[in-house]
Amino acid sequence: MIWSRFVRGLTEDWLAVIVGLALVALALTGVLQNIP
Amino acid sequence: MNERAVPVAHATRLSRTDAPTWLWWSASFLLMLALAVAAWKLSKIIPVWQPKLKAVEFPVYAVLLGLGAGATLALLGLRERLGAYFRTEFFLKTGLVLLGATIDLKEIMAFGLKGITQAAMLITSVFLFTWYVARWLGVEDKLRALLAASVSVCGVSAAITAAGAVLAKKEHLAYVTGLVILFAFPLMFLQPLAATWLNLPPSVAGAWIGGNIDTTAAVVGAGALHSPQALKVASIAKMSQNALIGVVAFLLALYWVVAVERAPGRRPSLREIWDRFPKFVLGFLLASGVATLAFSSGWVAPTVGRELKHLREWFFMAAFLSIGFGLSFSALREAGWRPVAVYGLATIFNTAVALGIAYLVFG
Repeated sequence: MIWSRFVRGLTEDWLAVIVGLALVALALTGVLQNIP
Repeated sequence: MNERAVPVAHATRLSRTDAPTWLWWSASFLLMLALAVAAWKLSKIIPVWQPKLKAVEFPVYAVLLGLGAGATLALLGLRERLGAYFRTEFFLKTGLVLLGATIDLKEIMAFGLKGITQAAMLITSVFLFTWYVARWLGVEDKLRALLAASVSVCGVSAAITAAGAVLAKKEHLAYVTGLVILFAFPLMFLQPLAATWLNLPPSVAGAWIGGNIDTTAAVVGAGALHSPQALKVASIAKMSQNALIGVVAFLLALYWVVAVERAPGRRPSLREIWDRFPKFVLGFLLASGVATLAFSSGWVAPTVGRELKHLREWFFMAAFLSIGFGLSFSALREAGWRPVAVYGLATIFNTAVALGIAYLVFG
């Protein structure tokens, strides 16, 4: 229920923040460096 | 969430009902990828073939390729179906959060008090001048926010950030990006010549170049044409200005929500301000803070900064491809000649003020 409410309420604005911060976290923790 | 208080563009729901089939999604993704690779290749090959075109950055190639692909697919009746991945707002805002992570807040301190003074004086005076000249010439509110931010802060990146902060039309962003590159091109050659003619010391020449020219590539080109010392000072002056982009985005977004978009005769509640405020600005500031902390403490290798810059450029590439893909010429025609006049006047003002401030602070 919480998940479906979250997905329905998701705007492109918030999605961009989530994806952007996730990519920053992956880069800073070195995960992206291990991807060929 | 207060549905009535939220503007349409902020409340773009990710609807499942109008989603195309997986086949169209896959084809759209592959098309986007192929165009992004082509635009990236062009941005690398053309400056080698024609060094004078160094100031022409990837957004130009991306918009042109997107425009070509969009027009061709429209003729074939496939543009709507293959347009699923061409989402300007999403790519723009994700790229802006990544841009935040590539801005080291410590760079504001690179020049110490001198750098902050120069950047703050220049940004404030040039922003306000452009803002009021554009209003005097009757330029639309959102377009003048883009013009003022791009001339006063750092060209294309500032125009993109302002476009996100005020939810500008994508055609306006394409227009302003074109102007930034068009004006940076002659300045890259003329300003080092003028600095030599005026017999400016290298540090003053560098501060003048970095404070005036809008695109980073053209700043580096102009600084290198003058002297190694001017190149160094110009690059740092540019970085100091770039680092203030988050502050400008925050203030612009807040001003838009509180003053421009508010209902007449009523003060917006805190809840309304929060609902309308573009959240990517918070992502931008958070990413910038975390990255500054991580890089300055030595937790992460400096090469990670290059990875983040590449990622950011790919997202902006996708955003500009999307802009070209759905570009409406009527919206461009509607904007008219006035933004060119505003940009021209603002550039003349910026050139004069940047020289005065460079002398005052570095002379």
